[in-house]
Amino acid sequence: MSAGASDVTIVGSGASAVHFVQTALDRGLRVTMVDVGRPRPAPVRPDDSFAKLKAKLDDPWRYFLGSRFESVLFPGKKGEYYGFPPHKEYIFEGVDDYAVEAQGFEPLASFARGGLAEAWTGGSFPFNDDELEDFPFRYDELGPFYDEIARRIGIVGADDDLARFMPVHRHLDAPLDLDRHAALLLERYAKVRERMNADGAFFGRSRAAVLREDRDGRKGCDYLGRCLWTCPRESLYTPAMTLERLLGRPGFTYLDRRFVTHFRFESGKVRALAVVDLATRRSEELDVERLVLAAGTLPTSKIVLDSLWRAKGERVRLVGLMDNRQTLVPFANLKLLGARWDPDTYQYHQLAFGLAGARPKEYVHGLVTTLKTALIHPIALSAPLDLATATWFSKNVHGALGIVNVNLHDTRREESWLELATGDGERTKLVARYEPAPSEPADRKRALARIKRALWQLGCFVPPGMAHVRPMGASVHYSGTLPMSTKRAPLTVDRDCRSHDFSNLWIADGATFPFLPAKNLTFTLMANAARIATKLG
Amino acid sequence: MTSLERECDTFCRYLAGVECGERVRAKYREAHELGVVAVDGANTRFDRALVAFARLGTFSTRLADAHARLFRNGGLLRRKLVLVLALLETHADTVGRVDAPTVSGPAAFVVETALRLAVFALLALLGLLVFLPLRALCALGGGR
Ligand SMILES: Cc1cc2nc3c(=O)[nH]c(=O)nc-3n(C[C@H](O)[C@H](O)[C@H](O)COP(=O)(O)OP(=O)(O)OC[C@H]3O[C@@H](n4cnc5c(N)ncnc54)[C@H](O)[C@@H]3O)c2cc1C
Ligand code: SF4
Repeated sequence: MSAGASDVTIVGSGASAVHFVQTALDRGLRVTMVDVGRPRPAPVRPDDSFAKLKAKLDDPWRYFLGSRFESVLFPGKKGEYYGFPPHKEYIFEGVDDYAVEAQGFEPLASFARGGLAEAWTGGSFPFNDDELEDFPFRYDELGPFYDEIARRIGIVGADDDLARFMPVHRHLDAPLDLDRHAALLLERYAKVRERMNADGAFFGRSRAAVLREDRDGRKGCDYLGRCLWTCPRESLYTPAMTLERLLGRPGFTYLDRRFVTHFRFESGKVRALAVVDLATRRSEELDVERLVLAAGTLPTSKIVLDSLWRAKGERVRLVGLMDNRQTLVPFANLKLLGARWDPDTYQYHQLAFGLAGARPKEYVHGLVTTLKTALIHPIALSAPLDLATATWFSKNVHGALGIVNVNLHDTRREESWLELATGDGERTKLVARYEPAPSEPADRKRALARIKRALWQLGCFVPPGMAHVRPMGASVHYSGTLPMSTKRAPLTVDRDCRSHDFSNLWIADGATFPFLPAKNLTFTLMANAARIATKLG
Repeated sequence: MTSLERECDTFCRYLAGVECGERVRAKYREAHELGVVAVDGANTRFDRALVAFARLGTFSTRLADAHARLFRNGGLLRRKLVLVLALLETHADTVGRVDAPTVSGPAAFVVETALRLAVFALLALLGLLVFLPLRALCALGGGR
């Protein structure tokens, strides 16, 4: 079967894939997208605020806690400071054909239309030249694509103290209105700025993919406070919105409910894509002219490993798996103890810390969320008190609460890798091993101490013992397993992300990153995917 | 009212100072029927004894909960209480009871916190006297 007589066949519909496709279509190429693509449920009462939902829904418990109470964070259940909304679970629902066995790493994958970024928090931060040091190109080359992605998806932010770490690209819209807590933090920063800066700590507006004003059929943010529960106005960008708009474009074919197991190749060229139709469970082959893998770092790597194994019986190791170590640091603003809060406000990070690193590329990135509409029972149950006292405590500190998500950079190392495990049958399993860098615990402690110091200067207190080191894998910034390299080496790609092993194969997701800065990578994934779509011969 | 519904009411009064109403009771029942509360490992003889004690009234609930938080956090009683809190905070009629500030500012907060911590410490001590023997009795009884 041919992939609809396309010039390009791409796997996946995530952030990387959709922006590759948009650029490729703009260039007049015909594209077929092959994707599992689980659809998102329709938004519930799109005009109601978070608070109104609790009053107006017939069964608010079902919406907030799930039909099987799966979003209640019972004691002992592995979780963090907030439960995950039940209607977002489709994003992480697995596929029988995809299995991972991991050590030192808790992998996530998404088979949703739009991929993992259907659940993202919109943080969009361009890498600078220091962070691109190990990439085979400089900011000059990527910059126009950051501009283009910002134009497409809408990014808010400011040219403030954080601009020393984050280039100010074009189409950066004015930031959203701050909630009271965030405004207070920024006011306080103005007073202690010099002291904090002397310690290498900077503070300012975060950058987020959210609209202030209506645009392209999406509505501007109306401060409904439902960000964590899925923005019903499409103000907060997700890749499924781009996919929706691509569906109407000539030259584009979308084949969903298809799971790609591997590709078949001959004489250094990919010939066909092996696909399982998930509706009928029939296997089929799609002929391909050019293949682009954008299934997310782990699934893309698995497709490559499977392809090599099935063709040559070869089980290779992809080294260099990276992810950002994240630590969640809860804090209370002393001025706001006992204060009321407004749930009708933007919920994700509005502010950010930037800590200068020993070397510029070792910058530490901290996203500040002032918790308002997250459920409180996970917070109450984590306090070492009876639940009535803990509830009294959490309702009186709720308006003062915040969390900093502190991110560290990562490097490619031999000890962190992906392999394939093969059994008797056709099914294979991805094996992931992650070993933190020897310096990581000390780096983490140092970063934590600096963040605590900075928070204290901002009038905030970090309760002892409450910082939570997230397991590797939790940041979902996977990268590094099929890196860009200027040397022609096996299992690498060139500067335009074209495989050194197969002349008509491109990799358009995080697998190609040779270094992972502390900044969330998705904006760069999108910009890089758009960049390589312009290079396709 | 069934004993499960009475239990729900007692726990609501303990956490929010009000009776919970028919719809919260129905949800509480539903969660039990779905088997998400009394899961394996959380439903030992001692867990059931703690719940039975807690049902006696809001003071008993507080005493049993203070002990359970320190020595049986993942057990049946804590699971039931967390469920009630989750139900209360996700409906407009009850959210204000569990998720709206009650103190008038930072100073009042500090004073009341100190008082509440002291009460918690006392209850935890008292709980040791009551529940350690109960725990021993349950262990002697064997079985699960
Ligand atoms: C809760 C959360 C918050 C986040 N917040 C941020 C943030 O603020 N900022 C940021 O930069 N990043 C954030 N991220 C990370 C971000 O979501 C990912 O970096 C990004 O989604 C990766 O995009 P991708 O297109 O490369 O891959 P994915 O999103 O993984 O997309 C993969 C796509 O491929 C398809 N697919 C996979 N395997 C197959 C197969 N074998 N056959 C067919 N189709 C397949 C899937 O259906 C999916 O469409 C967050 C992630 C999570 C989970
Ligand atoms: S506050 Fe969040 S949910 Fe509400 S409109 Fe803005 S982005 Fe959407």
